[in-house]
This record gives sequence, structure tokens and C-alpha cells, in this order.
Amino acid sequence: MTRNDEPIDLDALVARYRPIVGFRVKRALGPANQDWEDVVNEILADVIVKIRGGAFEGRSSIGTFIYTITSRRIVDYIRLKTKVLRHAPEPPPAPDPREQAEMSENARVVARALDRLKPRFKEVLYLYYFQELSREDVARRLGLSPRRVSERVNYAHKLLRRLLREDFFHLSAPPTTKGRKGTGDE
Amino acid sequence: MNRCRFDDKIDGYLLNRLEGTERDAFEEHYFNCERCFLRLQERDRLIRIVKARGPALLEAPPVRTLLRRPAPLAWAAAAAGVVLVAATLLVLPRFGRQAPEIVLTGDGAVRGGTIACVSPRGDCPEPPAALEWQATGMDLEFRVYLFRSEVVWTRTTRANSIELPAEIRRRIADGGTYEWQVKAFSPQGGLAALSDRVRFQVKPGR
Repeated sequence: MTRNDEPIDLDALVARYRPIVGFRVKRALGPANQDWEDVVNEILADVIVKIRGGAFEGRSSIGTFIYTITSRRIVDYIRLKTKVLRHAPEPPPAPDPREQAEMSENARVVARALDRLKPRFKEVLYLYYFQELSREDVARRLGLSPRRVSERVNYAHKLLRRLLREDFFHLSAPPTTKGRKGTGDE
Repeated sequence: MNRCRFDDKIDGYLLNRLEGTERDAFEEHYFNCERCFLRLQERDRLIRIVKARGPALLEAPPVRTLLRRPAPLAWAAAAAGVVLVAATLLVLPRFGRQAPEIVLTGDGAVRGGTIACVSPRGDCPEPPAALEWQATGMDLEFRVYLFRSEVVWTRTTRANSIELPAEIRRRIADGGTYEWQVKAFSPQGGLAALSDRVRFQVKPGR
């Protein structure tokens, strides 16, 4: 039940929180760790059991409830893994081909948008994200104020979002037919 | 969409700069804020790509129209365009740091991209060993100018960087403010692109 005593749609809840829990777990375990998906499934299963069992009383938000379960499960996993690895080191994990394919397609789209940015935006993204300089150090390198650096970074994000939207609409637009324009009466 | 008070934490979180309770608070927040989670995913993807691209990010994508072979009659129009633009640049007063954006094609001068100067920029802890600018991937000749109110040194190269001679490095070490600029010329000798004038100064201990 939610805070307003409405029944919780568990399917919608799982659909909504799976990517969030997945992001958190992957970040904690490392992107190359193949166990992340299993951990996510365990967490979501635990959430469902607890909600059905009445453990969620609505004192916090459902997001905080799931966050707490996620954090505890991550700590448990890391403790267990540390114990196991002390005795038998694991071979390096193999990359997930499905995830690689998805990432590389997304990466291509974003890389295309990045190429279209003007040099002054690419520079600031390079210094801020690749070299991981602080805002103040980026400002010193470029002869700008720190505030201007922030403005440029934020504007670069805005431009990228716009370029990605344009890319999406261009790629998903229906093919045009040859000949005269449609009148809407066809 | 309105700003969220955690907006400023996204980069810090992804670059592992948040610690302890600040990090925990942000993590709990994105479990509750759809907007922040979307921004977080977006930013995470961008950072991964920037890190994967590295310095190649600064390279200009190919400018396909730059070196298209001009029709014979277009030469006169292109040459007239260069003379007019060069005369304008010499006669008009400089307005701040704006560098004109010029790319010559067979059809005449058109607006295009500038060359980005990579380093040195701003304060430098020691005299720079070289001047470096973004690569274009094109067959261009670069003329580099070093200024201190007027030109103190100039060289030509086909690479996207040039070493500074020892005597110039010694001179730069005096702590004065210097500027540098790059001009790119096509094989036909036409001005193809310019950079802004970029300022730098040696400040030991930074």
C-alpha cells in the first residue's frame, strides 16, 4: 500500500525501478561484473516480497524503501565476494555481447552529436570529463571564469540533447513518398 | 523542466567526487527523482564516450567541401574573395577576440569552423615546450604566430603542433602575457581557417 492506502502496482513498480536499481548495482559492483543482473533480480524480488508482506508502511517514500533494500544487498554481496575471492581468485568476466551492442549503438549516436559541437564546447567537455579537471582548473586553462565554464558545460549538454532529439526524429521519420505533396485528403 | 537542487551533484557523483553522506543522499535522491535519474543516465553515457574518445574528441570531423576542385572560372571569384576578406581584416579595427570564420571552396568564401588552440592557454607553470592545435585531417599548411603586442615569432608546419625554440621559451619565461594564433592555408595557398588569438602567461607554482 502507498502512503495514501492505494494498492501498489507491482509490475509498474518493477518496470520503473529496474533501471534505477540496475544503475546503482552496476556502479557498485563495476560494469564488467556479470553478477549485477542476478543481484538486481534478487533485490526486486525482495522488494516484492516485503511489500506483499506489509513491510512497506508508507513512513518513507517507495523510492527510499527500495534504495535501502538495494544498499543493504550491495553491502552483503561485496562482503560475500570478498570472502570467496580470498580463497579462490575468479577469472576475468566476459563482456555481455547484448549490452555491448546496445552501448555501441548509443555511443555512436552520442559520438555523432559530439562531433557536431563547436570546438569551444568540445574543449570544455574534454578538460572537464576526460582530464577530470575541476571547474576552477578548467577556467584557468581556458582563460575564463569558473562561472563561464559551468555555463559552457551546461550549454553543451543542452545542445547535445537537442542534437540527439534531431537525430532521433531524423532516423525515425517515415520515408517520404515521391510525387506531389499529400493534401491530407488521401 | 525546473531545476532540481541536486542537479549540481550529478557530475560530482559520476566523477567520484562525492563522499560519505553527500554521496548517499544523492543516491537516495535519484531513487525518488525521475528527472535526476534521466539526467544521470544521460550524463553517464556522455562521460563514457568522452573518456573513450580522449584527445580525438578535439579533432575536427572531415570538412568535405574544403578542397573540392574548383571550376576554372571560379578561380577568379575565389581570388577576389580572398583579396576582399584580407583587405577587410587589415582595415577594420579588431573587435575583441572574434576571429573571422573563413573556409574557401571552389564557389568562394563561405562561413565555416575555426581552429581550436589546445595548449598553451591561460596560466602555465613553466614555458610551454610546444604549441598545439586541433588536427583537421586535411592536407593544410599551418602558419603559427606568437605575439606580444606584435609578432615575436612565426613558423610554418603541416603538423598540428610545433616546438618552440629554446630562445623563445627563455623569452616567454619572463612572465609577460603572450598570445598565439594559427592560420591554415590550402594547397592552392588560400586562407582556409583561422584560430582565435589565445592568451597565455607563465606563472611558476600554478
